[in-house]
Amino acid sequence: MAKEKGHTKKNFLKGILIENPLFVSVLGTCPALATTKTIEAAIGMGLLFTIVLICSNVLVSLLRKLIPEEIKTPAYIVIIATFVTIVKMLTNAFLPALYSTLGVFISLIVVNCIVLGRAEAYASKNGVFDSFIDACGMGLGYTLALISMALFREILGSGMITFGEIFTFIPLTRIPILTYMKSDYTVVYDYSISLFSTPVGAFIVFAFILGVMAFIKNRKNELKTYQERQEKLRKAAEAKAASMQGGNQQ
Amino acid sequence: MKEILTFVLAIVSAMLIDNVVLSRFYGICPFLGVSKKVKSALGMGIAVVFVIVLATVICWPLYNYILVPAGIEFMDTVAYILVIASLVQLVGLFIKKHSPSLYKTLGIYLPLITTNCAVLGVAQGNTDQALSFIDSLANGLGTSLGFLFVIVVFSCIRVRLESANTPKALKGLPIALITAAIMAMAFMGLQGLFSGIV
Amino acid sequence: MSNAKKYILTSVTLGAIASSSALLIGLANLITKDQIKKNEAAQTRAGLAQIYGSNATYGDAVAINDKNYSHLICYYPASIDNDPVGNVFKASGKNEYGDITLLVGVSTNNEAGQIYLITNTQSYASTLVNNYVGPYNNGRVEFDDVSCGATHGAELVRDLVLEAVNWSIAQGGGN
Repeated sequence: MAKEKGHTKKNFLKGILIENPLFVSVLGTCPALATTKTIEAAIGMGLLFTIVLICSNVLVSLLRKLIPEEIKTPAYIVIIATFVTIVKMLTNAFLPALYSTLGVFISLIVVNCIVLGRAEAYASKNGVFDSFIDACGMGLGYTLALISMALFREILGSGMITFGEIFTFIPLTRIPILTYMKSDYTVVYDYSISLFSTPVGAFIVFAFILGVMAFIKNRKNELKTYQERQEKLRKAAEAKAASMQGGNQQ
Repeated sequence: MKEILTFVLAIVSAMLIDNVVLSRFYGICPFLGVSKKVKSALGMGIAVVFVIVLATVICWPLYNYILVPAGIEFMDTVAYILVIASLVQLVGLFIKKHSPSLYKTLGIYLPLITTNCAVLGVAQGNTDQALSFIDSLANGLGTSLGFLFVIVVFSCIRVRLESANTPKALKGLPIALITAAIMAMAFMGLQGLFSGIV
Repeated sequence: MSNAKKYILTSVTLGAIASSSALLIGLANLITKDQIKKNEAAQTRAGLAQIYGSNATYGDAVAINDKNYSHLICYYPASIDNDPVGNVFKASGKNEYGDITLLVGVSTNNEAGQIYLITNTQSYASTLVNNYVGPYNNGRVEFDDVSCGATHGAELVRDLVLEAVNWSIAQGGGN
């Protein structure tokens, strides 16, 4: 039972950091660059993506013994497309502001490499509960990745964090960081760099985050190599000292 | 005459002004994945042109003459993706028969055209904006030609980047993305190109 | 024999998956269809209320099919306490940056009033709202002051509003 618990936790956490679908496997980049202009849109996109991923993983895992090998891919695609269409209709009905902000990118969850990838690589080979946990982890990791990109883009690009435009049950709040704009649109000060709201900024933020992660990984590898080399030198010195002592004794 | 001019301008406008990769963000995965060699980028771009044009030609009548009269417009996403998946298989078989070297170069990236956001994005976008057949065709042609243009230019630059002296943390994907950012900046300058004409 | 059996099994499974997916989606469609219609009506009403306030009563939409004013879709007559105060025009247009659909109030004196953007898919959407439409509605920016960082979008908005005003004048408005 203890092994089971550790396994589930590792399954869940791997989607967030070690195998983060956006920053490590670099999949699903299209919505990541297009919907991260504001933090609210990123949260909405991540939420819809997680729902589709969980549903598709669970259903594919349930049906994994019934689907023949040859039609695996079209079958998975139809399953994913079904859930995406249902989610699209529900969003249009109950969160129309999110639907009009995300636009065609809700439909594009169908061709998101992550959903199809997890269905083929994991859900078709593992049980329902494991697939569910895997989907939760991957979805959460993707959402956090989207939010981190949107954080940079919105703060630098528009200068303030706006809540309440999409999730209309939150009152419209603007948190001023680089720009302070009152509710009647008078601008008190504006230090934002509007480049980051444009596609150029999306590429730059993505490159920056990937560069930072590569830097950290390189440092870790360098540290590990250094430690291993020190260990080898120490062992060689010990062996030499031992052989010299042995020689002296003789 | 005016229709032809509008058609050509619509293609060029979809290709340059709201470029499919650098402005609308479709097709980023193959854009970053296939562009390490110019030849494979060219092959991928041409295959995408074929698939998008054929998909537009098939999906528009499918939606307007089959799905709408039957009252099941909501099945459009499922129908489109099945059409695209089969089209990609067919294009793959066609390339395998006529140009086995290109087939080997493309390798795994050919089935990945199915998950190219540009193909489904164009088909779904034509439906969402309720474009006429000619406008959909212009949109499809412009999008795919824009993709071909950008991916070939990007691969030419990226080949040179491989031997450049980039900082270690930026090697590979980050420096490629910064290059894409600079290209996007260049394309931003093309906006407003036809403000007096169309 | 087993080849044929394999084909049959394959197509039956695929058919089963396809038809159950169609059923599920049809079910979702049934559930959400009315809600979507209600959303659109509520959105139109909310947009109208932004123009002349929620105290005004708005008549039904009157379609406009004039080729010279191709961007105008329809108008809603507005009145406060049975006193006609103007018309709310719905217009839509597009430029190379995206589409705009808006509601604009034109008073009985053919003056442009408040603007409410229903759909705004411009590339610089929030700049357009924050620097032109918002300040204009709050009376702090002149109608012709379109250089705002989203100039092409502002010009499109201005052209749509002017089209509504000109249509109003051409109808001999002001009675």
